[in-house]
Parts: sequence; structure tokens; C-alpha cells
Amino acid sequence: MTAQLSPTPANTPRRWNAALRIEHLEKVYSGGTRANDDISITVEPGEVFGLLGPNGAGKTTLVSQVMGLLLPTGGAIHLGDVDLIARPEAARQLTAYLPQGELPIESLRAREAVELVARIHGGSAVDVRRRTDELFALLELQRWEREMGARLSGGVKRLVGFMMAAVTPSPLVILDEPTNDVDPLRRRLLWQEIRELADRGSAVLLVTHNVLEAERAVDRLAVINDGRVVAQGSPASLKAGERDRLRLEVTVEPRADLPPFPSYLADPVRVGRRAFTTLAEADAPRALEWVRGLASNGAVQEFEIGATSLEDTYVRLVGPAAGEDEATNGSDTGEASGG
Amino acid sequence: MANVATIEAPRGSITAVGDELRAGPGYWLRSYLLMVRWELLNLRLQLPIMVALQVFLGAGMAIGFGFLIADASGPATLYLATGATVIPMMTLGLVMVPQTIAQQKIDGTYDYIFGLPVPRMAMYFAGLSVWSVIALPSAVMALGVAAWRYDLELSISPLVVPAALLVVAVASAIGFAFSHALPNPRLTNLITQLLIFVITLFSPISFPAERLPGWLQAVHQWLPAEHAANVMRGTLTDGLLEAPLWESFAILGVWAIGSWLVTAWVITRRG
Repeated sequence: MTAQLSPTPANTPRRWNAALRIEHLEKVYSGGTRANDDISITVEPGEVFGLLGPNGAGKTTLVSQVMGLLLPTGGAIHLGDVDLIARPEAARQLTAYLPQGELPIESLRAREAVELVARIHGGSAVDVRRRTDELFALLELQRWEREMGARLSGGVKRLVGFMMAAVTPSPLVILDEPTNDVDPLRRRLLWQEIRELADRGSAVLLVTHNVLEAERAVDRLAVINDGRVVAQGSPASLKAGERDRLRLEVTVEPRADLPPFPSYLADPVRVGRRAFTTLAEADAPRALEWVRGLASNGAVQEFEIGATSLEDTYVRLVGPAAGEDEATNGSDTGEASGG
Repeated sequence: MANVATIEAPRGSITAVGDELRAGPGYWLRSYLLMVRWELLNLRLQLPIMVALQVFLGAGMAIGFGFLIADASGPATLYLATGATVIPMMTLGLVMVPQTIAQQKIDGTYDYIFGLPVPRMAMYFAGLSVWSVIALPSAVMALGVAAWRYDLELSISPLVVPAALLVVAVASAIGFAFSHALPNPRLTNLITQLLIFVITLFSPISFPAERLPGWLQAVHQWLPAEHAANVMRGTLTDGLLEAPLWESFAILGVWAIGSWLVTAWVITRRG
């Protein structure tokens, strides 16, 4: 099947030069809940932009406004020269969307679903067939082509949803948790394809709370919490404050109090049984000595000292409650750091 | 990592996104046809069961009500037979349509469907077409079963076609409108339970309106159920309907237009 693979990004001309510009977006629900508060982000064409935040941070509200499903209370949303708030139908034509929730494909065969959505997005029959072949081959999903949605596993269904979004070229691609339930091998293929969409000129908005994956996959990201952008930049720039520092993680008994932390350690952030802190490299020896002492008298069960990750920044930004949610997700992927 | 904000796209083959927008009757028609396909594929597993259920419901009403009346003969059987065509169409629009939409809201697929790039009214008419295809054959079957059971002589006018289409359109437009408008899908499902009860027992569909208490008769003069029965009765029989046929057509027409306007408003508004 490799003969059908898509051309390399280098020889694929970009089709658009349209950035998604969200400016001072505000959404207050009729009950008074301020779900989005002065959010400004720009997703450039060719860029994979991560939108990170805990459950209830306002990510879905943001996406629904871009898609024209919700009317913003204030602010502006443009894609290139098109005002998406004034023209919700244009938003839907120009956006390919993979929602976080269920896809309505229970009684559609996988291939039918991909092709039908592509036709609805305006693709010609020939283009649609060629690109559908290509995607099924690239994601190694050919054996499920004729299977109905109801009989697909969660991960395969998710990938079919991704193909439904990727099959017609769109200036804006919004993917909400695309890797949920996807097996590790196809997860790699999926990330390649997401990058490929950006290389072809799409602006890709990736909504996730999987910080570990986002760190590797996105060019830039915004962290939102309680409806506000609390940090924005490249993964490296967000970690910059922690660059010359190390992270110390300790695990204590459930509900046990944390031992008092010495002053050369940053204030710890507790997430369930785990607590994180950061420290200067120079302080590593005495920190190690201190934490070994705690381990030997049973005050901490496990500890780890290592390089800082985006997760440290993230947890510090959105607070421990949100971090708890994140910790669960991290261990789902089997990538959370152990003891 | 490179600062991505500085990436420049090559200028040569760039299209402005505004130029790619589709509009006009061709776009509308294409969207409509694709959504019909979408709806049919979505219902492919339930479709035979739904049609069978509708036929059973209509025929069952005609025969079942016959047991309630000791001496089912003459005009009473004509009432039952013509009512048997109306009940499946009304329950389809007022029960199955809203329940389908409520289910989409419950399982979370509603936003995906409404995020598809098709004109909202094309989506609505696609749904309406598919529901009509399910309802109309069952109405015919129900009438056939009733005619055979009671050995009836019908006098079918060509106006029965617009009459039946109008009944399906009104019922499903109302079902569409309230199920889209109500934020809580479980409330929608409760309302459909109530409606099926009101339609089958407290609406002058299978019996003459005079049997109802005066106040309920007065209410039904302005509700669609009695007029839906009237247009079917007036176009399937001769002399059974005493009120002018055009009046019922007119009132149903107003209901159809009114509920389309509400539907158009409900499905294009943004919360």
C-alpha cells in the first residue's frame, strides 16, 4: 500500500494562509457563569496549537463558539479575512472538527462515514475516494473499512473520527482529544498525520488535557483555567522558568500529611498522593539526603528526582485540583512517571 | 524549537479562505441529498423495525378501538379506519422525531451533526423527507388493514397526497421545534410520553369531536390533531366530514408555517 502514500510535505504546496485569530473572547452563560474571559489566541497556518486545561476550564465553550454553535458575549473570531461570529455557516464550512464526544456513526460503515462527511464538506467523488484510501492505509485501518461504527473499538472509532476531519483539506482543523483510547503504535501514526495537516497549510487547534503528549506534539500552546489564558507560548518557553531546575516528586500514604519542605525547595504542589516541587541543581545533593531520610523513616513511600517537564509548569499554573485530573490521564497513557 | 509565529507560507498557490465558501441552490440541494443519505444510513438498522412498528400501530388502533365499541359498524368504522392513518403519522412526528433528537443530545452526537457544513433548513428537510418515507407507507397499510377488517367503501380523492404530506410536515415540525428548543432531552422524552397519550385517547382522531367535553372541543378547534384527522377523513371518504375541508387545510397550513418558522429560528440561533 505504500505506493499510495501521500506526497511528502516538502513538495506539497500550502493551500491557505489563514490564521485563526481569537481576540478578547468572552462568554457568559445566561446563568451568569463566565466560561471564557478575555481569551486571545492566534493559530497560524502550518501550526499545531495546543489548548490545554482541566475539565471545566472553558475549552469546549471556546471551540463551540469557533464552530458557530454558541454566540460569544464579546470579542472577535476571524479565520483569515472571514468573521466567524458574523458568519457561523462559514465557520462550519471552513472547519474540520473531531469532537470529544461520541460520533454519530453507529450504523455507518467506517469507510462510508469518512466518504460521506468528505462529500458533505464539498469534496469531489474522485478526490474523496483517493484521500480515503490514503488515510486508511496511512493509519493501517484497512481491515475495519467495512465495519459499522457500533462494532468498532473506542480507539478505532476515534481514528475514524480523525479521518472524517482530515479527509477534506480545511483551513482550520479542530481536534478534541484525538488520541483518546488509541493504541501506542497508531498514536504515533496519528501524530504524524496531524503534523501533515499543518504542513499542508491548515491551522490545527488541538484540545487536550494530556500534557505529556502535547509537550511533544504542539508548536505552541495556551493553558486555560477558569476561562482565562494563564500561560501561552512554546513548550520550551513555558518551561523556561524551570529550565535549570530539577523536579522532585514524592509519594506519601493516602491522606497522610506532607512533611515540612526545606526552604530551598519551591512550594510543593500536591496531587492526590503525589507532591511535586522544583529545586536548583546545586541543591540536589542535600535534597536527596533529605528525601532519603524521609523514605527511610516511612514519611514518604517513593521519590524521584529528574528533569522538569511541561507537566510541572502546567500543574503549577492550574493548581492541584486540576492536576489530579491530569495525573489520572497521565497514567492512562502509561507515560506518567512512576516512583 | 523554531518560533512558529515567524513561519511564512509560500505566496504562489494561496487561496483566500473566503473564496472557498459555498452558497446557492446547488449547494443547498447537494447538502439536502447528502443529508438524506446520512439519515437513511443512520437509520439503516432501525428502519425495517420502525416501518413495521408504524404499520402495527396504525392497524392496531383501527382494530383495537373496534373492540371498545360494541357495535362497530357504519360511520364508526370509517372513523376508526381514517383515524388509523392519522395516528402513525402524528406519533411519528410528535414522538419518534423528538425522541431521536433527544437521543442525539443524550449521546453527545447532536453538536457534531449541527457542526456539519450544511444549511440548517436543508438538514431539517432531509430529516422530514426521511420521516415521511417511513410514515406514508405505514399510513397506507393501516388504511388497507382497516378497510379489509371492516369491509369499508372508501372514496379516495387525489387531495389525500397533499393532506398526508401536510399532516406529517406539521407533526414533525412541531416535534423538531420543541425537541431542539428544550435544553433537557429527558424532559423532551417525558413530553413525548404525554403526547402519545393525549393523541390516542383525548384527540378527536378516531371518534367524533362531539364526544369530548365542550372545553376540550373548543381547544381542539385550534390544535392540529382534529384538523389532521379532518383532512384525511375529507379526502378518504365522502360525506363523513361535516366541517369544510378547506378550513382544516388552512389551519394545518398555518401550523406548518408557524412551526417551520419556530424550527428555523430554533435551529439557527446560538445560545
